Order: sequence, then structure tokens, then C-alpha cells
Amino acid sequence: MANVFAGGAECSGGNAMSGLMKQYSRDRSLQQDHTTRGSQRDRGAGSSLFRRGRQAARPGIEANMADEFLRKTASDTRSAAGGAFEFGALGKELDAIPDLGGPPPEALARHPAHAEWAADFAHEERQHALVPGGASAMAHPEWQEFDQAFTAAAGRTEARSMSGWESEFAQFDAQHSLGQASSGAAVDPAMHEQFEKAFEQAGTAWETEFAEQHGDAWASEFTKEQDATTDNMDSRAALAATAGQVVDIVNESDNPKFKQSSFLQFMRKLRDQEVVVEGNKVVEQRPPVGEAASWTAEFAQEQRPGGWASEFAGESSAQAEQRGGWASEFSGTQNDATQGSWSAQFEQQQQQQQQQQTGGPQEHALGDQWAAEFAQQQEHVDAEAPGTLSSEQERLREWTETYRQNIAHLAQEPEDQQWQELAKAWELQAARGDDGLGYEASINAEYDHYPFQMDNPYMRDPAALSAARLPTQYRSLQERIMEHEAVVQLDPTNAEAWHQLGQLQQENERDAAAIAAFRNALSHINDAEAAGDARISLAVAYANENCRSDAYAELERWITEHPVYGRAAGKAPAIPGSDAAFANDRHARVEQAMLRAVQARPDVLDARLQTSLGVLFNLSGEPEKAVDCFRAAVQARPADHMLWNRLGASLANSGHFPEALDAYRHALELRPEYVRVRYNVGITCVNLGQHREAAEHLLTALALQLPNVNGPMNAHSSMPPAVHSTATTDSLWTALRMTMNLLERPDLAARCDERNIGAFQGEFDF
Amino acid sequence: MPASANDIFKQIATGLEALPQEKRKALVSKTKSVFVFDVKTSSGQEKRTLNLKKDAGSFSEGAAEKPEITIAIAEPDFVALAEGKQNGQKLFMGGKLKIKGNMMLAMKLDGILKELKPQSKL
Repeated sequence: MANVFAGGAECSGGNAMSGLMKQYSRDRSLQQDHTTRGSQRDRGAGSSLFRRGRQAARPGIEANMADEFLRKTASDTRSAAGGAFEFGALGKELDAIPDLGGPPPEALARHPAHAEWAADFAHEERQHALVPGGASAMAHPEWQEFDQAFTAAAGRTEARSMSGWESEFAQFDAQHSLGQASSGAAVDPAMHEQFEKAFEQAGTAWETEFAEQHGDAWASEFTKEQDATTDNMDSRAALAATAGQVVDIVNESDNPKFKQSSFLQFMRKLRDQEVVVEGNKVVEQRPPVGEAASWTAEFAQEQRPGGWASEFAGESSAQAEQRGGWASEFSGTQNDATQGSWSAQFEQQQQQQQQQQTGGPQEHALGDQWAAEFAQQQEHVDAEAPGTLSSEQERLREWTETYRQNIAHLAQEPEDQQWQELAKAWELQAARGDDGLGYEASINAEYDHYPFQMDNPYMRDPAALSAARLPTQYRSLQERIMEHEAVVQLDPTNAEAWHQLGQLQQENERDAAAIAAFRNALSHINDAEAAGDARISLAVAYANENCRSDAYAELERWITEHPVYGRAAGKAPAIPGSDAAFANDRHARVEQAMLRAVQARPDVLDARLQTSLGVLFNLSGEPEKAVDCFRAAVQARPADHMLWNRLGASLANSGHFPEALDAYRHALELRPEYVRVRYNVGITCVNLGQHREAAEHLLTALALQLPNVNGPMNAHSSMPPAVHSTATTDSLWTALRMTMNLLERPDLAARCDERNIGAFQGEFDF
Repeated sequence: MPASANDIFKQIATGLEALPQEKRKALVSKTKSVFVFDVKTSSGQEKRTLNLKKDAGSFSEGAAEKPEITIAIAEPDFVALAEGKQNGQKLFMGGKLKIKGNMMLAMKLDGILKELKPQSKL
């Protein structure tokens, strides 16, 4: 467990996530709609930057921050996705980032975005070069000095410049430890230690990297951030704090405080900004600007709502006054600041800042060497090149203007308080896995009793059951259902037969019967593994029946009672029940337990585990993720027709209809009588606007539900027509009726009520 | 060819019509509200009213007088929402889905669309 969140090279080794992650990287190349993942991966890579710093710091490697960042984005999808997942709740949020029309991975690969970065930085350097009094960017005295300062700072990393960072983080750590201790949450000391170590190294590497590479460019980016945040707090401390916050999350991803509101809110805001940045016109307005600018803008905009900042302030009481003041002042600025006054204020603040920093000793604990270095630098700028400063300010003003334009639409958003209220409600709802429309399985009596078909020939002649039979694939679905029904009627404690019967009923598009069968199976199972399988099947059936909370319950029991994974899940820091909101967050809980299970056996691709994850993501309305899980599952068990159907359904539910049809085709090759797949194909055809084909598939499905006229068992049987009509499923008739309406055949739609496919013969091929 | 808002409207209308009476009533009793969709298409505004306030509910052209909630959304986003490529929350957070009226009802939107549009089953 310790190395799960510890970060550092352990994560980047890429072996932690195994199957799921392999799928992530592989599948992207197959997907048409890459945009969601593209942006998701960007985030993942961005967050893993902190932890991967060690590699970046390897001497001799030409790795500037941009390169590192984007190289991961473009190629190392596995670790990027891994990073996202290792964050737990963060990962979940990251993955929830909407489809923003970001560049698809191919686009990134074709037009390496780090080139854009580099260009951006180069552009900046050119701009510095144009600054009056400077011959070239690098030769320009203050920038050179800047560069030197950074290099010097890097050289003193251990001794000096890290001290600020470290003390900041140490403080932070300490506070968090205290908080945890007081809230009764257990901290895994090994994990903590390892994290600290990893962070230390990463932090060092990161800073070194900045210094080595575009220290100056970065610094100017940084200066702009200062502007955007109109920050009279020590900006270096702010950056450090930001890093601390982010890194801290790695450490605290099991901490309910984080998951509950503040960070999720923060991420929501971030996500919102994303939309602004990518979905709006940022890129257009700043053409050469690639990821760097969006990152900067994000950073700046994150600060805007002030919630995060003040939250942060609450967390670190030692720094509270300073930060609180900043947050409130900033939000005051935000609402009414015109362009000019903002810039003016910034100027003013910069002056104040300089007075503070250069005039007196740094009295705060966070006053650090690195900050002093930077401040000195600013002094130089002031003293030696006043012209540069005003030119810088000109640029800052421009940048600010762009920034204002970019966030302008936010002002038109619903009023802040209302917005936050809604966000909170949504969060709670998501945590409960409740859209207000799910059903409770417990109130549906249909699920309690398995509906045996009457007049089962095998009941009349049980000897026929043990007679030599054709292999499964040569017997009809309905025949096999009859067989199993007879078996469990003769021996109601036969759990295996119950389970198989349930699966056959799922195949037969009758989830209610399947649920009853699985429940019977579970009440007679002693073997843990068999029980687990039955639970997964039951969860699938509940999910299909929209019994969301029941499905969650089964998945949770499956993972916690699993002989291997249960232990892995149990090792996680206990989730304190004190926090009601988080206690309700069943999805996060189950997801984390499952992801831990994936990590616990990195070399094993467990189709069951992937299936459970797939069901989970379907429940949470994240079918895109479910697709990856089921792809992994079919890879492990390519002959499992049910997995192919689940893959297809996840694809269809995420709007990938042609790919869904491909998966369904696999399932039908394995089981031509797969009623559910026929139904699903019909639904997909409706979505593709192929209503006639849809009708034919649905009618085929209905025909398959009827007892096989030519089957061997029919020799014994003389089923009355009434049985025929109840053998068919309402869901099929509902879909057929909808299709008839779409075909503008109200006459045939009305005949769906008769539950008689004879009415459609001659009109459709089936 | 990507689906249009009209395709989705048609699916909603036929989906509601095809739903068995008891399911329609259950949906109404859970929702008890009138939704107006105001979808911005290339040719103008398409407005529809999904009345899930009483009886078996209805779906009709135009906007009702006093809906509990009006949802304004652009056509591509509306299609993505209905097809499951997007969810209401994300669209709302991204400023792509505007709400007038009882905002809490917006949370039910995904679920309602799912009930009205048959879902692929696992």
C-alpha cells in the first residue's frame, strides 16, 4: 500500500496499474473520440509531474519542464493515466473533465506540443530581447542575472533554496498530521515517510530543472501569475503553497477532508477554467501559446473564486492571516476591477512587496532564501532597468486584458452562491450515486421469486437432463434455460445451476429473473470465489434494472470480501465515519478499493476485477472508462460472449455506436441467440437513425425469446400460446414500439400491446 | 451523420410514448415538474416542453408558460447529453448549459433522458 501513493519513480515505473492502464494506453489509438481522454491525460501528466521530477533531474538529459510534461502527455499514457488514478478522488475528478475539444493524442503526437511550448518560450525570450536596453534575451543583464540567481539557487538546493520549500512543506505536513491525528484517521507511517522522501527528491529535481532550463522564461510566466492573482502575499510562498497543496493531495488522497469538498470544488473550478481555456477562445487569442499558457491561465484563474485559497488558509493556521487577507482582497478586486485599476493595483502591490521583501527581514516562517533571491532580482530590475519594467508592465497589462476577456463569460454564469450550492448538491448526489431516479431493488417483489416457466418438459422427464446432450452452442438459449430451471427445481440448493440460470436469463434479456436466480445462488454458496462471481453478475443485473444503490452494494461486498483484494482494500487507511458526506461516497470508496486491487496484483489482468470496474463506471455515468475496463476484460477472456456485450453496451452508452456494433458482432459470433445483444444492436441502430434495421433486430430478439419450435424438447411440449406471450420481455416491446413510432407506423406501434410478433411478419425480416 | 436535436426530440417523444403506463406514472411521480428545452440550432431556437408534472406526462412542441425549469443549450451539446457523451453537470459547470428556474431539477435531467431513451444493457 505504501508505494501506491508514495509517488516517485515507483509510479513512473508503470507497473503499478497493469491491465487497466495498459488498456488506457492501447485503447486510445483505437478510439475515435479522443478528446476527453486527451485532456484527461494532460491533467494526469501534469499532476504526475511532481512525482516524476526525479527522472527529469537526471543530469545530461535535455529535459525542460515543457518537454517533460508533454513527452509524458504524448507518449507515456500509461503512467499518465496511472498518475491520474493514483490520486484516487483526484483521478476521478480528472477523468470527469468534460469533452473540451482539446487536441486528440494523435494531434499531439503529430504536432509535438512541446514544440509549441518551446516556441512559446522562445517567443518570450525574443520579447525580452526587444526590451529597450537589451541586446539579446540571454545577454540582457537582468535576465542573465536572473538566470544566474536561479542557477545559484539550484546549486544551493540542499543548503538554502530548498529550505524554504521544505519548511513550507514540513509545516504543511505537520499540520496535516495533526489534523489527521485529531480526526482519528490512521496515517500509514511508511507511506508518509516514503512520500516525504519522494517529494523531497521531486521537489529538488523540479527546482533544479527550472533553474537549468528556462528559468527566466518561467520566471516571467511566474511574474504574470503574480499579476493575475494581484497577490500581495509572498508570491513565492504562494507557488510553494500551490505545489504543497497539490503534492499534499497525493499524500492525503485518503483523507476525507480533501475528498469531501474543498479539493473537489477546486477541481471543479479548474475544470471550469478548462472549458474557458480550451472550449472558448483562449487558444485563438493567444495563437502560439500551447500548454504553458493554459497552465498559467489555469493557475491564475484557479485563484479567482477565492474558495480554494481561503480553504487553504483554513488548513494552515500559521499562515492564515496572510492568506486570508489575500483571498478577501483578491475577491474584492475581482468583482469591480476595471482593466486599469487592476494593473494599477498590481503595480502598487508590487511596490509594497518590494518594500516588504527588501526593506526588512523576512519574518514569516515561509520567508525563504529562494524568495529572497527572487526579490533581489526584482531590485536589480528596478534599479538598473526602469525602462524594462514599464515595458514589462505594458506586457502584463496586455496579458491581463486577455485574461479578463477569457474569464469574462464567467461573470455571466449563475450567481456565485447559487452556483456553489448547486455544485455542492451535485457533488453530494454523485457521492451517493443517486440521480434521484434509481430504483430500490428491495421494493420490487419481482426480484424475490424466480418465475419458473410452466410445463417444463424436463420436469416431466428429469432423466432427459442427464441424457447425452449436444454441446452448449448447439442447444437453443430457451432450451438451456428450461434445463437449468429443471435442475434448480429438483435441487434448490444447487448454487452453480442458479448462477448459470441467472446468466442465461441475462443473455435472454430478463434481468428481473436473473436477479432472482443470482439471489438464490448467493443464498446457497459457501465458496468465496463463486460467491464473488455471483455478486458481480447480480451487480450487472441491478445496474441494468437501474437499481443503482443495490448494484453498488454488491460491488462493494465483492471487493471487500474478496480473498485477495479484500486484504489490499483493508490495508487502506480507515475511512472515518465522522464525515457524513464522505461516508456516503460509496462510489469513491468502491472505486478506490478496486483500483487498489488492480495495483495489488500488477502483473495479473483479472477479467473479474475489470468487469467490476466496468460495471462501476457504468453506474457512475462514466461509460468511457467502462469501455477501457471491458476492453481489458475481453483481452483476458476473448471467448466470453457476455464481456463482448458489456464492452459494446459501454461503447454505445458513451455514444460510440459503430464501435459498439463491432463488439456486439463478436458477441453474436460466439452466441448467435444472444437476445440481449440483439436488443442492444436494435438500440444502437435507433441511435444511428437506422430505424428499420432496429425493428428487425428487436423482432429477432423477440422471436428468440419464444420457445424453440424445432428444438428437441418441443417434442414433449405443447405449450399454450399464452406462455409464448409472457416469455417475451417488456423492454423489447417498449423499444419496438418506440421504433415503430420513429418509423411513423402508429398502427404497428399499437399492436405492440398485443405482444404478438405475428403482427410484424411480412412487414419486417426477422 | 450525427444526430440532430430533432432526432433526439423524436426519440424522447417516442420513448415517452412507448414507456409502459406504470413506468410513465412512476417517472412523473418522481419528477413532478415541467421541463422546457430551449435548444439553439443553426436555424434558430427549438423549444420543447417535457411535462412530467401529472398523469402520464407529455412531450410537446413549444415552451410551456410556467415551467419549473428551462434548459438552454446548444444543439451539439444537447445531442451529446442525450447520447451519454456528456452529462448535465459537466455541461453546466462549463457554462454550456444554462438553467432558469429550479436548478436542482437539472440534476434529474440525465436520469430522465436515460429513462426516456432506452439504454444499452450490460
